[in-house]
Amino acid sequence: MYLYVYDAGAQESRNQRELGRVEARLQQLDIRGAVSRLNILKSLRGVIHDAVRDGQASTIVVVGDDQSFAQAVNAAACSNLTIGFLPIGGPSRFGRLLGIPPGVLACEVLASRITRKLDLGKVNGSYFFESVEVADDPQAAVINLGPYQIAALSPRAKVLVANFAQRPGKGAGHTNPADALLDLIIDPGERSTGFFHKERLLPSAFPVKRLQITSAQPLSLLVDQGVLLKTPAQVEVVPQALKVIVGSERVFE
Amino acid sequence: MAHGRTINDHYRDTPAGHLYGGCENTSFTRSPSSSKLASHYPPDHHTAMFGKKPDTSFTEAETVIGPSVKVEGDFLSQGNVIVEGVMVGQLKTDQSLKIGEHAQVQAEVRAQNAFVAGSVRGNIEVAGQLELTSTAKVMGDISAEVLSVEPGASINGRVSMAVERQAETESE
Repeated sequence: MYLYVYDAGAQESRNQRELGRVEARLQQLDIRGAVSRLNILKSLRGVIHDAVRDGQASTIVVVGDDQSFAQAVNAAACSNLTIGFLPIGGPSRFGRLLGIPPGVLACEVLASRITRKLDLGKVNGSYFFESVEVADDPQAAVINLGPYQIAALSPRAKVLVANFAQRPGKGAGHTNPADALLDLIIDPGERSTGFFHKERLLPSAFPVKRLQITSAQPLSLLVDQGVLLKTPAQVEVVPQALKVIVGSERVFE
Repeated sequence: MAHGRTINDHYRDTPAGHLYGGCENTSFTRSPSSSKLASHYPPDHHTAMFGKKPDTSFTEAETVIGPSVKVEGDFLSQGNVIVEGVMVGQLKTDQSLKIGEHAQVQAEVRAQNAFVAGSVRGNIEVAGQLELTSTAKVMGDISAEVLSVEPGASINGRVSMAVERQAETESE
């Protein structure tokens, strides 16, 4: 039983034509279901909690943008629900990772119903799908992995804990979202070696199950490139926490 | 996909399509099933003293300590490790270890095999093959079954090999 949840963006007038095509295609593929439209009084988290409690839907399809999908992941983590995603309103970062094209073509992916159980990350009690990044001064962050600590030496380094993200460097591929590990990545970026020449510095990578990020002053952490949290933060992997409908052109096995 | 279009055609050249790290490669690539990071280490042109390529010239490592990172404490790994940054404490891996030319290691080092091109202050204990390049500087004792030392390498410490250890055991 499908429950389609339309976020605010999907309901905008500029997306109505696309939404109409999507609904027609879902009807043709015989995967139509109940529709819930989010508004100021109805949150995505509430809709998913009701679905879990009532047992009326086994598959929740988020129709909207990456932010809504991230919220759905947080709400449905470790439940028996299957999460689908139908990007509307433009290109989607999560859609690319999962192999789900935007708009009406996503209906084919939903109909094929290829599912995978994916890991999620957890930071201070909230789940994340893609990554947690140190948004402020990375040199000020101390990353504690129990027996040892890691510190970034470069002020320009990007420090992130990735469950599912593209690795730095051309052609480097993506981290694996189903290996029961997170990847701590510290990317120093490039440095100039002369006129018109830049050298790519070797990024650091550590496979981890849990870690702590602390700092002398609170630092901002960007969760799934949307939500901001503050240090100290406890980050850990939650293996096989969510069942997701994926496309055949996803970036993982 | 309809009309020969791939998913990349939907995401090409759009600001939202660029992922972290400046996605220059817009084609989907499947990542390996394990979490091992394919190292961007350039091909190792160094050849061992006797003309053989060292076994520790691996290009894929589970853990990479890059030049912009300092690790302090007891670092234990079960996979291949590349060190290009700063390591203080203890460094132990069940597989191969590569210490780059600009790495600074102040640690007790243990590995199955090791390739050292940088500075190590501490004892090195290798169960298999240990190779020291011309830029290696070791201030500590060395223990290995097979040892290869390039001209220019610097060792300040005791060197013991498997044969010598066996002889010591027999004499006791």
